[in-house]
Amino acid sequence: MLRFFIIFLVIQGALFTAELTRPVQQAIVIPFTRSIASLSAWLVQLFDDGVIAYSNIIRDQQSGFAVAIEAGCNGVEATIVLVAAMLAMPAPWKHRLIGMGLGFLAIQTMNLLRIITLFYLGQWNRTAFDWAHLYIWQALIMLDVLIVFLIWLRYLPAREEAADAA
Amino acid sequence: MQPSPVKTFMIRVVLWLPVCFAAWYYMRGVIGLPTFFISDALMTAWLPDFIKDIEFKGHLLNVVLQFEPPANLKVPEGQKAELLFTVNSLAYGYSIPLYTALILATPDEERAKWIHWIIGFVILVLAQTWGVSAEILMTLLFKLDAAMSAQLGFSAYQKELVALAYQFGYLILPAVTPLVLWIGFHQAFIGQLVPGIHGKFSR
Repeated sequence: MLRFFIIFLVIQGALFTAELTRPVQQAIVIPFTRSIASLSAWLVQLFDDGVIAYSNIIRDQQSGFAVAIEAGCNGVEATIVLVAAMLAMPAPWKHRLIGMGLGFLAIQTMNLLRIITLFYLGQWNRTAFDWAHLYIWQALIMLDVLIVFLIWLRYLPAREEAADAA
Repeated sequence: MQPSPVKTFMIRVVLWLPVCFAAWYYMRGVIGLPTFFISDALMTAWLPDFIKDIEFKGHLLNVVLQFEPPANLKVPEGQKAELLFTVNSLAYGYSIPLYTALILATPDEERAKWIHWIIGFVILVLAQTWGVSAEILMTLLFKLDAAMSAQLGFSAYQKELVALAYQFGYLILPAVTPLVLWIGFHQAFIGQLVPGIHGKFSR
């Protein structure tokens, strides 16, 4: 267990530091965040045509209310935590890659739900928006990470099988 | 058919979560005190010439600064200028209700739950203090007038470190610490949720 925690913390620290560097921000994080904003706006426009998206912003044309999707709102940090945990566990690479792919989808699905609910909460009540934004959704996203990790652990092969696969 | 143990556990967490968030918010004036005391002692001792005082107002920390006034600011001769900004300590403390919900949802002896919660609370308060202190430093270095920030004497490299510490304290620590603590304290229970996990972890 100690080995798992040490590797987990080292990988997580390295990935998080890398995420904050300018080249990674320019090449990956900012374009990815913009695509999340576009995807959120597209989903909202399926049932609400008064919404527009530009850059990392989603705006309601009638009320003028807008949300900007910034660092911490794009699910990247939650993905880093999950990836670090999966890399720290001794597991066949096939299982790791499948886990990371499905985990990424699970986190981003939850994150899209977060963005869309926050967008409408903010138009309804600012206090509710702040609560959901700063506290509730942060906790729910991390619960999502924990669920995905526990489910992934259940599907890991037993020790002997993993040794054979390696 | 038996429901999945992971599913049962998560339903219990989700049911406890609103209760824990409500209790945390209504007791914020008490729960936030340790973070306030540590941040106040730490920051006023470290930067006594700049941070005059930190006041605790509910969950908000009012940071009172004193500094040499810039040329365009007139203050009575011999006096320093004062400025106040606010830090929301709850933004770094949502890990406490999350961790409490995880503890309450985990079947365990009452005594063990209390011990795990108290140890976890102390560590989460330290994580929260990290976040609050890093935000105070970040505000001093990046949000104030450049002439005022320069009085702190931080190098460019030190400023980068403060920026990293702030991001780490805001985005990672409150989110990851409760999960790490819960996994660390509940290996036996995780063994029930995930049969064969001990072999998997110890490989």
